[in-house]
Amino acid sequence: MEKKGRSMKKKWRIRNVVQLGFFLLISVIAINKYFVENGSGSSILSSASLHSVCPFGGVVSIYNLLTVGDYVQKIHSSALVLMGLVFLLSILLGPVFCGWICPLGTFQEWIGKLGKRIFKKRYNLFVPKRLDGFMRYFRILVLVWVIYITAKTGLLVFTNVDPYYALFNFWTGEVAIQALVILVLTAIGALFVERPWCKYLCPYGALLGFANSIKIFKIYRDENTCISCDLCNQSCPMNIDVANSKKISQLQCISCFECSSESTCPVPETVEIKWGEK
Amino acid sequence: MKLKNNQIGVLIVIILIGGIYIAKGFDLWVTESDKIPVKLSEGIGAGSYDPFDIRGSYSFEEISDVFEMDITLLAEAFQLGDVEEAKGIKSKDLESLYGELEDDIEIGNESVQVFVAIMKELDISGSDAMLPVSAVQVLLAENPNRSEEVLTYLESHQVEAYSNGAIPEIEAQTDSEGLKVNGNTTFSQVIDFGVSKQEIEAIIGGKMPPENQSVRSYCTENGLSFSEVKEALNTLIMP
Ligand code: SF4
Repeated sequence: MEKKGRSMKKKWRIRNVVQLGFFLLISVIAINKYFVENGSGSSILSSASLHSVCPFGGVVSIYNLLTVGDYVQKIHSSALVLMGLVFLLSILLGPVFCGWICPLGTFQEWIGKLGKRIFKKRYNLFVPKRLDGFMRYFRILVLVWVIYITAKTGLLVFTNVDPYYALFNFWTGEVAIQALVILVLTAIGALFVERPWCKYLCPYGALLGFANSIKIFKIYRDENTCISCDLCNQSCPMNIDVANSKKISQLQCISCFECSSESTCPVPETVEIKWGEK
Repeated sequence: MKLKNNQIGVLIVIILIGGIYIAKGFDLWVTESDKIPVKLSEGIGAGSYDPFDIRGSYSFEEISDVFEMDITLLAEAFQLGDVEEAKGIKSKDLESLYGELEDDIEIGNESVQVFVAIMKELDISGSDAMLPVSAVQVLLAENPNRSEEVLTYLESHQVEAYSNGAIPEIEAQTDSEGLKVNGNTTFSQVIDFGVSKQEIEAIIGGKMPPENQSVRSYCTENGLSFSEVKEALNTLIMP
Protein backbone atom coordinates (compact mmCIF):
# COMPACT_ATOMS: atom_id res chain seq x y z
CA MET A 1 0.00 0.00 0.00
CA GLU A 2 2.90 2.28 0.87
CA LYS A 3 4.32 1.63 -2.58
CA LYS A 4 0.98 2.41 -4.26
CA GLY A 5 0.72 5.72 -2.33
CA ARG A 6 4.16 6.83 -3.52
CA SER A 7 3.42 5.84 -7.08
CA MET A 8 0.07 7.67 -7.10
CA LYS A 9 1.77 10.82 -5.88
CA LYS A 10 4.41 10.63 -8.58
CA LYS A 11 1.93 10.04 -11.40
CA TRP A 12 -0.45 12.73 -10.19
CA ARG A 13 2.41 15.14 -10.65
CA ILE A 14 2.76 14.52 -14.39
CA ARG A 15 -0.54 16.17 -15.25
CA ASN A 16 0.21 18.90 -12.73
CA VAL A 17 3.54 19.63 -14.35
CA VAL A 18 1.99 19.85 -17.81
CA GLN A 19 -0.79 22.09 -16.47
CA LEU A 20 1.66 24.33 -14.63
CA GLY A 21 3.86 24.53 -17.73
CA PHE A 22 1.00 25.73 -19.94
CA PHE A 23 -0.27 28.10 -17.24
CA LEU A 24 3.16 29.72 -16.97
CA LEU A 25 3.58 29.85 -20.75
CA ILE A 26 0.27 31.68 -21.23
CA SER A 27 1.06 34.01 -18.30
CA VAL A 28 4.43 34.89 -19.82
CA ILE A 29 2.86 35.52 -23.25
CA ALA A 30 0.18 37.77 -21.73
CA ILE A 31 2.66 39.72 -19.59
CA ASN A 32 5.13 40.06 -22.46
CA LYS A 33 2.40 41.40 -24.73
CA TYR A 34 1.63 44.05 -22.12
CA PHE A 35 5.27 45.11 -21.94
CA VAL A 36 5.68 45.08 -25.73
CA GLU A 37 2.77 47.48 -25.99
CA ASN A 38 4.52 49.69 -23.48
CA GLY A 39 7.69 49.77 -25.52
CA SER A 40 9.64 47.02 -23.70
CA GLY A 41 9.16 43.23 -23.49
CA SER A 42 11.12 40.38 -24.99
CA SER A 43 11.55 39.99 -28.72
CA ILE A 44 12.19 36.23 -28.28
CA LEU A 45 8.55 35.71 -27.40
CA SER A 46 7.32 38.10 -30.12
CA SER A 47 4.29 40.16 -29.31
CA ALA A 48 1.72 37.40 -29.81
CA SER A 49 -1.58 38.21 -28.15
CA LEU A 50 -3.69 35.76 -26.15
CA HIS A 51 -6.16 35.67 -29.02
CA SER A 52 -3.51 34.41 -31.40
CA VAL A 53 -2.72 31.43 -29.16
CA CYS A 54 -6.32 30.48 -28.33
CA PRO A 55 -7.58 27.51 -30.38
CA PHE A 56 -11.19 28.59 -29.82
CA GLY A 57 -10.42 31.70 -31.88
CA GLY A 58 -9.82 29.34 -34.79
CA VAL A 59 -13.20 27.69 -34.27
CA VAL A 60 -15.15 30.95 -34.31
CA SER A 61 -13.21 32.15 -37.36
CA ILE A 62 -14.19 29.25 -39.59
CA TYR A 63 -17.48 30.77 -40.76
CA ASN A 64 -15.80 34.08 -41.58
CA LEU A 65 -13.03 32.35 -43.47
CA LEU A 66 -15.48 30.33 -45.51
CA THR A 67 -17.87 33.17 -46.31
CA VAL A 68 -15.73 36.30 -46.68
CA GLY A 69 -12.20 34.90 -46.62
CA ASP A 70 -11.21 36.95 -43.57
CA TYR A 71 -10.23 36.00 -40.05
CA VAL A 72 -12.37 37.38 -37.28
CA GLN A 73 -10.81 40.56 -35.86
CA LYS A 74 -7.65 39.91 -33.77
CA ILE A 75 -7.44 36.27 -34.91
CA HIS A 76 -4.53 35.03 -37.00
CA SER A 77 -3.57 31.73 -38.61
CA SER A 78 -1.82 30.55 -35.42
CA ALA A 79 -5.23 30.13 -33.77
CA LEU A 80 -6.32 27.94 -36.67
CA VAL A 81 -3.17 25.82 -36.37
CA LEU A 82 -3.80 25.32 -32.64
CA MET A 83 -7.44 24.49 -33.33
CA GLY A 84 -6.30 21.73 -35.69
CA LEU A 85 -3.77 20.36 -33.20
CA VAL A 86 -6.31 20.36 -30.38
CA PHE A 87 -8.82 18.54 -32.59
CA LEU A 88 -6.14 15.99 -33.40
CA LEU A 89 -5.40 15.47 -29.69
CA SER A 90 -9.12 15.23 -28.95
CA ILE A 91 -9.70 12.57 -31.60
CA LEU A 92 -6.80 10.64 -30.16
CA LEU A 93 -7.38 11.05 -26.43
CA GLY A 94 -10.60 13.01 -25.87
CA PRO A 95 -10.68 16.58 -24.54
CA VAL A 96 -7.17 16.53 -23.04
CA PHE A 97 -7.05 20.25 -23.80
CA CYS A 98 -9.52 20.73 -20.94
CA GLY A 99 -7.91 18.30 -18.51
CA TRP A 100 -4.24 18.98 -19.20
CA ILE A 101 -3.74 22.29 -20.99
CA CYS A 102 -6.43 24.93 -20.45
CA PRO A 103 -5.05 27.45 -17.94
CA LEU A 104 -8.53 28.47 -16.82
CA GLY A 105 -9.26 24.83 -15.95
CA THR A 106 -5.98 24.69 -14.02
CA PHE A 107 -6.85 27.91 -12.20
CA GLN A 108 -10.20 26.43 -11.13
CA GLU A 109 -8.51 23.21 -9.99
CA TRP A 110 -6.10 25.17 -7.81
CA ILE A 111 -8.99 26.97 -6.13
CA GLY A 112 -10.76 23.61 -5.89
CA LYS A 113 -7.89 22.26 -3.80
CA LEU A 114 -8.73 24.91 -1.22
CA GLY A 115 -12.42 23.99 -1.48
CA LYS A 116 -11.55 20.33 -0.85
CA ARG A 117 -9.66 21.29 2.29
CA ILE A 118 -12.57 23.30 3.56
CA PHE A 119 -15.46 21.01 2.68
CA LYS A 120 -13.68 17.64 2.59
CA LYS A 121 -16.01 14.94 1.17
CA ARG A 122 -18.88 17.36 0.66
CA TYR A 123 -16.84 19.24 -1.95
CA ASN A 124 -18.17 19.06 -5.50
CA LEU A 125 -21.48 17.59 -4.31
CA PHE A 126 -23.40 20.76 -3.47
CA VAL A 127 -25.48 21.05 -6.63
CA PRO A 128 -28.55 18.76 -6.61
CA LYS A 129 -28.24 16.06 -9.29
CA ARG A 130 -31.27 17.10 -11.35
CA LEU A 131 -30.33 20.77 -11.38
CA ASP A 132 -26.74 19.84 -12.22
CA GLY A 133 -27.86 17.65 -15.11
CA PHE A 134 -30.07 20.43 -16.45
CA MET A 135 -27.40 23.12 -16.14
CA ARG A 136 -24.87 21.05 -18.06
CA TYR A 137 -26.78 21.82 -21.26
CA PHE A 138 -26.04 25.55 -20.84
CA ARG A 139 -22.59 25.28 -22.33
CA ILE A 140 -24.01 23.95 -25.58
CA LEU A 141 -26.31 26.97 -25.74
CA VAL A 142 -23.31 29.24 -25.08
CA LEU A 143 -21.44 27.51 -27.91
CA VAL A 144 -24.31 28.06 -30.35
CA TRP A 145 -24.65 31.71 -29.27
CA VAL A 146 -20.90 32.44 -29.61
CA ILE A 147 -20.65 30.88 -33.05
CA TYR A 148 -23.80 32.67 -34.26
CA ILE A 149 -22.86 36.11 -32.95
CA THR A 150 -19.24 35.87 -34.16
CA ALA A 151 -20.36 34.71 -37.59
CA LYS A 152 -22.86 37.56 -37.81
CA THR A 153 -20.55 40.38 -36.75
CA GLY A 154 -17.05 39.16 -37.65
CA LEU A 155 -15.97 40.35 -34.19
CA LEU A 156 -14.58 38.49 -31.21
CA VAL A 157 -17.65 39.27 -29.12
CA PHE A 158 -16.98 36.47 -26.63
CA THR A 159 -13.93 38.35 -25.27
CA ASN A 160 -16.33 40.65 -23.43
CA VAL A 161 -17.56 37.78 -21.25
CA ASP A 162 -14.55 35.46 -21.38
CA PRO A 163 -13.09 34.71 -17.92
CA TYR A 164 -9.97 33.20 -19.55
CA TYR A 165 -9.18 36.52 -21.24
CA ALA A 166 -9.99 38.35 -18.00
CA LEU A 167 -7.67 36.09 -15.95
CA PHE A 168 -4.66 36.91 -18.12
CA ASN A 169 -5.45 40.57 -18.77
CA PHE A 170 -7.11 41.90 -15.63
CA TRP A 171 -4.22 44.33 -15.02
CA THR A 172 -4.32 45.93 -18.47
CA GLY A 173 -7.56 47.88 -18.20
CA GLU A 174 -8.69 46.22 -21.46
CA VAL A 175 -11.04 43.71 -19.86
CA ALA A 176 -14.79 44.29 -19.95
CA ILE A 177 -16.35 44.51 -16.52
CA GLN A 178 -18.74 41.61 -17.20
CA ALA A 179 -15.78 39.32 -17.99
CA LEU A 180 -14.17 40.26 -14.68
CA VAL A 181 -17.44 39.59 -12.84
CA ILE A 182 -17.69 36.15 -14.51
CA LEU A 183 -14.08 35.41 -13.56
CA VAL A 184 -14.72 36.29 -9.91
CA LEU A 185 -17.94 34.23 -9.86
CA THR A 186 -16.06 31.30 -11.43
CA ALA A 187 -13.36 31.56 -8.77
CA ILE A 188 -15.92 31.68 -5.96
CA GLY A 189 -17.89 28.82 -7.55
CA ALA A 190 -14.73 26.70 -7.76
CA LEU A 191 -14.56 26.75 -3.96
CA PHE A 192 -17.75 24.66 -3.90
CA VAL A 193 -17.91 22.91 -7.27
CA GLU A 194 -14.99 21.51 -9.26
CA ARG A 195 -14.50 23.42 -12.54
CA PRO A 196 -17.85 25.26 -12.59
CA TRP A 197 -17.00 27.19 -15.77
CA CYS A 198 -16.06 23.98 -17.61
CA LYS A 199 -19.17 22.14 -16.45
CA TYR A 200 -21.82 24.72 -17.11
CA LEU A 201 -20.65 27.48 -19.43
CA CYS A 202 -17.50 26.79 -21.44
CA PRO A 203 -18.37 26.74 -25.16
CA TYR A 204 -15.05 25.22 -26.16
CA GLY A 205 -15.47 22.45 -23.59
CA ALA A 206 -18.93 21.78 -25.06
CA LEU A 207 -17.42 21.39 -28.52
CA LEU A 208 -14.46 19.26 -27.47
CA GLY A 209 -16.76 17.13 -25.32
CA PHE A 210 -18.20 15.61 -28.48
CA ALA A 211 -14.79 14.03 -29.11
CA ASN A 212 -15.57 11.65 -26.23
CA SER A 213 -17.85 9.67 -28.52
CA ILE A 214 -15.20 9.25 -31.23
CA LYS A 215 -11.86 9.29 -29.40
CA ILE A 216 -9.42 6.50 -30.29
CA PHE A 217 -8.01 5.86 -26.82
CA LYS A 218 -10.92 5.24 -24.46
CA ILE A 219 -11.18 4.68 -20.73
CA TYR A 220 -12.42 1.19 -19.86
CA ARG A 221 -13.42 -0.16 -16.44
CA ASP A 222 -12.97 -3.91 -15.95
CA GLU A 223 -16.07 -5.12 -14.13
CA ASN A 224 -14.40 -8.42 -13.23
CA THR A 225 -11.66 -6.87 -11.13
CA CYS A 226 -13.56 -3.80 -9.87
CA ILE A 227 -14.07 -3.89 -6.07
CA SER A 228 -16.78 -1.18 -6.13
CA CYS A 229 -14.86 1.09 -3.77
CA ASP A 230 -16.24 4.16 -5.57
CA LEU A 231 -12.89 5.97 -5.44
CA CYS A 232 -13.02 6.63 -9.20
CA ASN A 233 -16.30 8.51 -8.79
CA GLN A 234 -14.90 10.53 -5.93
CA SER A 235 -11.83 11.49 -7.95
CA CYS A 236 -13.75 12.59 -11.04
CA PRO A 237 -13.88 16.40 -11.23
CA MET A 238 -16.82 16.22 -13.64
CA ASN A 239 -18.94 13.92 -11.39
CA ILE A 240 -19.07 11.14 -13.98
CA ASP A 241 -20.34 7.79 -12.75
CA VAL A 242 -17.20 5.84 -13.64
CA ALA A 243 -17.99 3.10 -11.10
CA ASN A 244 -21.06 2.04 -13.06
CA SER A 245 -19.75 2.48 -16.59
CA LYS A 246 -17.86 -0.06 -18.67
CA LYS A 247 -16.56 2.57 -21.03
CA ILE A 248 -16.31 6.33 -20.42
CA SER A 249 -17.76 8.16 -23.37
CA GLN A 250 -19.83 10.77 -21.50
CA LEU A 251 -19.58 14.18 -23.21
CA GLN A 252 -18.53 15.83 -19.96
CA CYS A 253 -15.33 13.81 -19.50
CA ILE A 254 -12.25 16.05 -19.74
CA SER A 255 -9.73 13.20 -20.17
CA CYS A 256 -7.86 14.08 -17.00
CA PHE A 257 -7.49 10.31 -16.34
CA GLU A 258 -7.73 10.88 -12.58
CA CYS A 259 -10.04 7.86 -12.36
CA SER A 260 -7.48 5.46 -13.86
CA SER A 261 -5.74 2.64 -12.02
CA GLU A 262 -2.55 4.58 -12.44
CA SER A 263 -3.93 7.58 -10.57
CA THR A 264 -6.79 6.73 -8.19
CA CYS A 265 -8.29 3.26 -8.70
CA PRO A 266 -6.55 0.98 -6.14
CA VAL A 267 -6.80 -2.17 -8.30
CA PRO A 268 -4.17 -2.45 -11.05
CA GLU A 269 -5.38 -2.75 -14.65
CA THR A 270 -9.01 -2.03 -13.77
CA VAL A 271 -9.57 1.50 -15.08
CA GLU A 272 -7.31 1.91 -18.09
CA ILE A 273 -6.78 4.01 -21.21
CA LYS A 274 -6.82 1.64 -24.17
CA TRP A 275 -7.15 1.43 -27.91
CA GLY A 276 -8.63 -1.55 -29.66
CA GLU A 277 -9.22 -3.68 -26.56
CA LYS A 278 -12.47 -4.21 -24.71
CA MET B 1 -2.70 -0.89 -26.85
CA LYS B 2 -2.58 0.86 -23.48
CA LEU B 3 -1.39 4.34 -22.57
CA LYS B 4 0.12 5.52 -19.30
CA ASN B 5 -0.26 9.02 -17.88
CA ASN B 6 3.35 9.99 -18.50
CA GLN B 7 3.09 8.82 -22.11
CA ILE B 8 -0.01 10.96 -22.49
CA GLY B 9 1.82 13.99 -21.07
CA VAL B 10 4.68 13.53 -23.51
CA LEU B 11 2.29 12.94 -26.42
CA ILE B 12 0.42 16.18 -25.70
CA VAL B 13 3.60 18.24 -25.55
CA ILE B 14 5.09 16.60 -28.66
CA ILE B 15 1.94 17.04 -30.75
CA LEU B 16 1.53 20.68 -29.78
CA ILE B 17 5.16 21.75 -30.04
CA GLY B 18 5.83 19.56 -33.09
CA GLY B 19 2.67 20.84 -34.78
CA ILE B 20 3.64 24.47 -34.19
CA TYR B 21 7.16 23.73 -35.46
CA ILE B 22 5.80 22.16 -38.67
CA ALA B 23 3.33 25.04 -39.13
CA LYS B 24 6.24 27.48 -38.81
CA GLY B 25 8.08 25.56 -41.51
CA PHE B 26 5.13 26.12 -43.85
CA ASP B 27 4.80 29.80 -42.81
CA LEU B 28 1.40 29.06 -41.31
CA TRP B 29 2.26 30.19 -37.79
CA VAL B 30 1.28 33.86 -37.89
CA THR B 31 0.47 35.49 -34.56
CA GLU B 32 0.24 39.13 -35.62
CA SER B 33 -1.18 41.22 -38.43
CA ASP B 34 1.43 41.72 -41.11
CA LYS B 35 0.94 45.48 -40.91
CA ILE B 36 0.94 46.11 -44.61
CA PRO B 37 -1.44 48.75 -45.92
CA VAL B 38 -3.60 48.19 -48.98
CA LYS B 39 -2.31 49.35 -52.34
CA LEU B 40 -3.90 52.20 -54.24
CA SER B 41 -5.98 50.75 -57.05
CA GLU B 42 -6.25 53.88 -59.20
CA GLY B 43 -5.20 57.51 -59.63
CA ILE B 44 -1.80 59.02 -58.88
CA GLY B 45 0.47 56.40 -57.40
CA ALA B 46 -1.75 53.43 -58.34
CA GLY B 47 0.03 50.30 -57.16
CA SER B 48 1.81 51.98 -54.26
CA TYR B 49 0.81 51.53 -50.63
CA ASP B 50 -2.02 53.75 -49.48
CA PRO B 51 -0.79 56.07 -46.70
CA PHE B 52 -4.38 56.61 -45.62
CA ASP B 53 -4.47 52.95 -44.60
CA ILE B 54 -1.70 53.48 -42.03
CA ARG B 55 -3.20 52.32 -38.77
CA GLY B 56 -2.61 53.67 -35.30
CA SER B 57 -0.97 50.39 -34.31
CA TYR B 58 1.87 50.80 -36.82
CA SER B 59 5.17 51.79 -35.29
CA PHE B 60 7.27 54.46 -36.96
CA GLU B 61 9.81 51.76 -37.80
CA GLU B 62 7.10 49.82 -39.68
CA ILE B 63 5.94 52.97 -41.47
CA SER B 64 9.50 53.79 -42.43
CA ASP B 65 10.03 50.24 -43.78
CA VAL B 66 6.78 49.96 -45.73
CA PHE B 67 6.96 53.43 -47.29
CA GLU B 68 10.74 53.35 -47.69
CA MET B 69 11.23 56.59 -45.82
CA ASP B 70 14.20 57.56 -43.72
CA ILE B 71 13.10 57.21 -40.10
CA THR B 72 15.18 60.26 -39.12
CA LEU B 73 12.77 62.37 -41.20
CA LEU B 74 9.77 60.92 -39.36
CA ALA B 75 11.49 61.42 -36.02
CA GLU B 76 12.33 65.01 -36.88
CA ALA B 77 8.90 65.78 -38.30
CA PHE B 78 7.02 64.52 -35.25
CA GLN B 79 9.69 65.33 -32.63
CA LEU B 80 10.14 61.75 -31.54
CA GLY B 81 13.60 62.03 -29.99
CA ASP B 82 16.42 59.91 -31.36
CA VAL B 83 15.95 57.27 -34.04
CA GLU B 84 16.07 54.33 -31.63
CA GLU B 85 13.33 55.85 -29.53
CA ALA B 86 11.23 56.72 -32.58
CA LYS B 87 11.31 53.15 -33.91
CA GLY B 88 9.13 51.77 -31.11
CA ILE B 89 6.61 54.62 -30.98
CA LYS B 90 3.26 53.88 -32.59
CA SER B 91 1.43 56.29 -34.82
CA LYS B 92 -1.51 56.45 -32.40
CA ASP B 93 0.89 57.42 -29.58
CA LEU B 94 1.16 60.90 -31.11
CA GLU B 95 -2.17 61.85 -29.58
CA SER B 96 -0.75 61.37 -26.10
CA LEU B 97 2.66 62.79 -27.00
CA TYR B 98 1.13 66.04 -28.21
CA GLY B 99 -1.67 66.10 -25.65
CA GLU B 100 -4.73 68.28 -25.97
CA LEU B 101 -4.23 71.27 -28.21
CA GLU B 102 -6.38 74.38 -28.47
CA ASP B 103 -9.61 74.33 -30.51
CA ASP B 104 -9.81 70.52 -30.34
CA ILE B 105 -6.90 70.26 -32.74
CA GLU B 106 -5.29 66.83 -32.70
CA ILE B 107 -1.94 65.52 -33.86
CA GLY B 108 -2.37 61.79 -34.36
CA ASN B 109 -2.46 58.93 -36.83
CA GLU B 110 -4.18 61.05 -39.49
CA SER B 111 -1.34 63.59 -39.31
CA VAL B 112 1.09 60.75 -40.04
CA GLN B 113 -1.07 59.61 -42.97
CA VAL B 114 -1.05 63.09 -44.54
CA PHE B 115 2.67 63.55 -43.89
CA VAL B 116 3.50 60.27 -45.61
CA ALA B 117 1.12 61.02 -48.50
CA ILE B 118 2.82 64.37 -49.14
CA MET B 119 6.29 62.85 -48.82
CA LYS B 120 5.34 60.22 -51.40
CA GLU B 121 3.63 62.87 -53.55
CA LEU B 122 0.28 61.12 -53.43
CA ASP B 123 -3.20 62.56 -53.49
CA ILE B 124 -4.27 64.30 -50.27
CA SER B 125 -7.65 65.60 -51.37
CA GLY B 126 -10.28 65.02 -48.72
CA SER B 127 -7.77 65.17 -45.85
CA ASP B 128 -8.13 67.62 -43.04
CA ALA B 129 -5.52 66.52 -40.51
CA MET B 130 -3.25 69.03 -38.84
CA LEU B 131 0.55 68.84 -38.87
CA PRO B 132 3.02 70.22 -36.37
CA VAL B 133 5.21 73.02 -37.74
CA SER B 134 8.21 70.69 -37.50
CA ALA B 135 6.56 68.29 -39.99
CA VAL B 136 5.77 71.12 -42.39
CA GLN B 137 9.41 72.26 -42.20
CA VAL B 138 10.66 68.75 -43.02
CA LEU B 139 8.27 68.50 -45.98
CA LEU B 140 9.40 71.85 -47.39
CA ALA B 141 13.08 71.15 -46.73
CA GLU B 142 12.79 67.84 -48.60
CA ASN B 143 11.09 69.47 -51.57
CA PRO B 144 10.55 73.23 -51.64
CA ASN B 145 8.74 72.96 -54.99
CA ARG B 146 5.57 71.24 -53.78
CA SER B 147 2.38 71.66 -55.79
CA GLU B 148 0.13 74.65 -55.21
CA GLU B 149 -2.48 72.36 -53.60
CA VAL B 150 0.03 70.98 -51.11
CA LEU B 151 1.47 74.39 -50.25
CA THR B 152 -2.02 75.74 -49.57
CA TYR B 153 -2.76 72.68 -47.42
CA LEU B 154 0.43 73.09 -45.42
CA GLU B 155 -0.26 76.78 -44.95
CA SER B 156 -3.74 76.15 -43.54
CA HIS B 157 -3.04 72.94 -41.61
CA GLN B 158 0.07 73.69 -39.58
CA VAL B 159 -0.02 74.19 -35.86
CA GLU B 160 2.58 75.25 -33.30
CA ALA B 161 2.64 72.02 -31.35
CA TYR B 162 5.40 70.34 -29.43
CA SER B 163 5.73 66.74 -28.42
CA ASN B 164 6.08 66.36 -24.66
CA GLY B 165 8.58 63.59 -25.33
CA ALA B 166 6.98 61.15 -22.90
CA ILE B 167 6.12 57.78 -24.40
CA PRO B 168 2.53 57.26 -23.34
CA GLU B 169 1.20 54.61 -21.04
CA ILE B 170 -0.85 51.88 -22.64
CA GLU B 171 -4.32 53.11 -23.47
CA ALA B 172 -7.40 51.53 -22.04
CA GLN B 173 -8.59 50.36 -25.45
CA THR B 174 -5.48 49.79 -27.50
CA ASP B 175 -7.17 48.61 -30.63
CA SER B 176 -9.89 51.13 -30.77
CA GLU B 177 -9.46 54.52 -32.28
CA GLY B 178 -12.85 55.71 -31.19
CA LEU B 179 -15.89 55.43 -33.41
CA LYS B 180 -13.98 55.49 -36.67
CA VAL B 181 -13.53 53.14 -39.55
CA ASN B 182 -10.05 51.66 -39.66
CA GLY B 183 -8.45 48.71 -41.41
CA ASN B 184 -10.12 46.18 -39.10
CA THR B 185 -13.64 47.58 -38.99
CA THR B 186 -16.40 45.27 -40.15
CA PHE B 187 -19.68 46.37 -41.71
CA SER B 188 -21.51 45.23 -38.56
CA GLN B 189 -19.47 47.76 -36.59
CA VAL B 190 -20.21 50.49 -39.11
CA ILE B 191 -23.91 49.77 -38.57
CA ASP B 192 -23.35 49.86 -34.81
CA PHE B 193 -21.72 53.28 -35.28
CA GLY B 194 -25.07 54.50 -36.61
CA VAL B 195 -24.69 54.25 -40.39
CA SER B 196 -27.68 52.67 -42.15
CA LYS B 197 -27.44 49.86 -44.68
CA GLN B 198 -28.79 52.20 -47.38
CA GLU B 199 -26.04 54.73 -46.64
CA ILE B 200 -23.39 52.01 -46.84
CA GLU B 201 -24.83 50.79 -50.15
CA ALA B 202 -24.78 54.34 -51.52
CA ILE B 203 -21.11 54.75 -50.56
CA ILE B 204 -19.87 51.45 -51.91
CA GLY B 205 -22.17 51.63 -54.95
CA GLY B 206 -23.42 48.09 -54.53
CA LYS B 207 -25.50 45.72 -52.45
CA MET B 208 -24.85 45.48 -48.72
CA PRO B 209 -21.93 43.05 -48.20
CA PRO B 210 -21.98 40.39 -45.46
CA GLU B 211 -21.90 42.20 -42.12
CA ASN B 212 -19.01 40.07 -40.87
CA GLN B 213 -16.72 41.28 -43.67
CA SER B 214 -14.22 44.04 -43.02
CA VAL B 215 -14.62 47.23 -45.02
CA ARG B 216 -11.03 46.98 -46.13
CA SER B 217 -11.29 43.45 -47.51
CA TYR B 218 -14.52 44.37 -49.35
CA CYS B 219 -12.79 47.37 -50.97
CA THR B 220 -9.78 45.27 -51.97
CA GLU B 221 -12.03 42.58 -53.47
CA ASN B 222 -14.12 45.07 -55.43
CA GLY B 223 -11.38 47.43 -56.61
CA LEU B 224 -12.65 50.34 -54.50
CA SER B 225 -10.39 52.87 -52.83
CA PHE B 226 -10.43 51.98 -49.13
CA SER B 227 -9.37 55.47 -48.07
CA GLU B 228 -12.25 57.06 -50.00
CA VAL B 229 -14.84 54.62 -48.64
CA LYS B 230 -13.40 55.04 -45.14
CA GLU B 231 -13.55 58.83 -45.39
CA ALA B 232 -17.12 58.76 -46.64
CA LEU B 233 -18.20 56.41 -43.82
CA ASN B 234 -16.35 58.45 -41.20
CA THR B 235 -18.14 61.59 -42.37
CA LEU B 236 -21.44 59.86 -41.61
CA ILE B 237 -20.21 58.61 -38.26
CA MET B 238 -18.97 62.04 -37.18
CA PRO B 239 -20.91 64.65 -39.15
S1 SF4 C 1 -14.20 10.10 -16.16
FE1 SF4 C 1 -12.05 9.94 -15.54
S2 SF4 C 1 -10.95 10.96 -17.21
FE2 SF4 C 1 -13.08 11.59 -17.42
S3 SF4 C 1 -13.22 13.51 -16.26
FE3 SF4 C 1 -13.77 11.86 -14.82
S4 SF4 C 1 -11.84 11.35 -13.80
FE4 SF4 C 1 -11.29 12.55 -15.63
